Amino acid sequence: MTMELISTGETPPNFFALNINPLLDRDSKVRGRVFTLRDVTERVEAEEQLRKRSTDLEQLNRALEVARATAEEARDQAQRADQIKSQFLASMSHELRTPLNAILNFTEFVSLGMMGAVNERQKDALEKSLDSARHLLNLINDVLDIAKIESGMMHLFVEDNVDLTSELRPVIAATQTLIKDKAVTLIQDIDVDLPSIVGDKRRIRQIMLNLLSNAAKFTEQGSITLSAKRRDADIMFAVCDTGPGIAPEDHNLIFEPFQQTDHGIQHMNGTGLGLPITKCLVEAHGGNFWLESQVGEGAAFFVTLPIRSAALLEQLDKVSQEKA
Amino acid sequence: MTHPHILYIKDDPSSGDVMRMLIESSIGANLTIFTDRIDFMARLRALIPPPTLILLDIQMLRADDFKLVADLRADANAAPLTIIALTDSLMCAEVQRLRHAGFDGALAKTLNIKTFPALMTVLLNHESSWHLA
Repeated sequence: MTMELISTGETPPNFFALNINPLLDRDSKVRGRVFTLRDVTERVEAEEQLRKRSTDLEQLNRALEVARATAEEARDQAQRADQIKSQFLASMSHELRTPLNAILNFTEFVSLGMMGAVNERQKDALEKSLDSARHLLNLINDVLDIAKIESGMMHLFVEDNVDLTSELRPVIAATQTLIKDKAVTLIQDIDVDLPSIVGDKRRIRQIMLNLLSNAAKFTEQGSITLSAKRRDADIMFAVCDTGPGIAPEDHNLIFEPFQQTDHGIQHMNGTGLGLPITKCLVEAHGGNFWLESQVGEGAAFFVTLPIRSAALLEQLDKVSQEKA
Repeated sequence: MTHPHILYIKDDPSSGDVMRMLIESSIGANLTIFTDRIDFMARLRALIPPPTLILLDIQMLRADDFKLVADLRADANAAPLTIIALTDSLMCAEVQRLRHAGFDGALAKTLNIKTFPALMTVLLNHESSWHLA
C-alpha cells in the first residue's frame, strides 16, 4: 500500500510517500508491517510545475490560435479594403473623367469649327473653357495619382528603350506655352546622344512636366534651364529657375502631399500634389529627387533615373514571360 | 475603296457622340455603336460588313467586360478582330489584366483629337497599341 501525506505546519508544505508493506515469516504469515516514509517534495513540486507549464502551454496555444484567427481576419479585411479602394479609385476615375472627356472633346469640336463656323470671340471663349477643363482634368489626375500612391496601387507601365529626347519634346513645347506671356526664357542643355532608358514614358513625361510647369508658374522673369545629361549609369535631369526660391526649412515640406509654401499658397494654383507625385514616380523608377534652393536665389530641382534599372528590367522580363 | 467598319461598345451616352464625331471627322470609317451587351455575339454576327476593330469602353474591374472579350476570343469568326479597351482609369496592374484577358491594346481617355487619326490607322492595321496618355 502506498499513500502520500502532506506534512502540517510548514510553508511550503513537504510531501512524503508512505509505503506500508507486510512483514512475512518463512511460512508467509504476516508478522508485522514495514513502514517506509520517503520525502517526495521535489518530485511533487516538479510534477506541479509540469502541470502548471502544461496549463500555461495550453493557454499559450489558445492565445496563439486567437492571434492567428485575428491575423487572418485582419488580412482578409485588408484584402477587402484593398479591393474596395481599388474599385473606388477605378469608379471615381471613371465617374470624374467620363463627363470631362465629353466636355473637352465637344468643346474642341466646336472650337475647331467641326460643328459649324465660329467667330474669333467665340473661339477665344471656347479656348478658355478648354483651358479650364484641362486644368480640372490635371487636378483630378493628381488627386487620383496621390490616392493610388497612398493605397500602394501606383504601378509603372515599363517599356524598354524610352527615347528621352522625344519624350521631352512635348514637355518643352508645353512649357514654352506656359511662359509665352512672361519675360522668361527656356534654356535647353540636353545631351544630343542621350541614351534610351527603361521606364514608364508617360510617367517620365509627367515628372518633367511637373518640374517645368512648377518653374514656369513661379518664375516671373529670367530663365528656366532644363538640362539632361548622362552621369555614369544614370540620366540626370535638372530644372533650374530664377524664381523666388524656397527657404531651406520648406524643402521637406514641399514633398509632402497637400503642403505648399507661402508662395505656393499665394499663387492659388494647384493642389500641392505635383512634387510629392513626382518624388514617388522618380523613386518608383529607382531614381533620386532633390532640391537645392535659397530664398531669392531661384530653385534647382534634380532628378536622376537609372538608364537600365535592374528592378524595372526584372518587371519587364516578367511581363514578357507572361505574354509568351 | 470601302471604309473600315468599327464597332464601339460604350457605357455612357456622351461617349458615343464623341466617338462618332472623332471617327467620322478623322478617318471616315463606318461606326456601329452597341449601348449594351445583350445578345452581343448574335448582334455582332449580324453586322454586315463585319467590323475589323472593336473599341470596348470598359469600366475597370467589371467582370462582364472581361467575359465579353473571352467570348470574342473563343469565337472562330471574331477571334482575329482587334479589340481595344477604352478606359478612364488605366493603371499598370490593369494593363497586365487587360493583356491576359485578350485585349490587343488600350486607349486612356481623354482622347486627343489631334493624335486620334494616326492612332486609328495603327489599330486598323491590326497593330497592338497601349496608349496610356
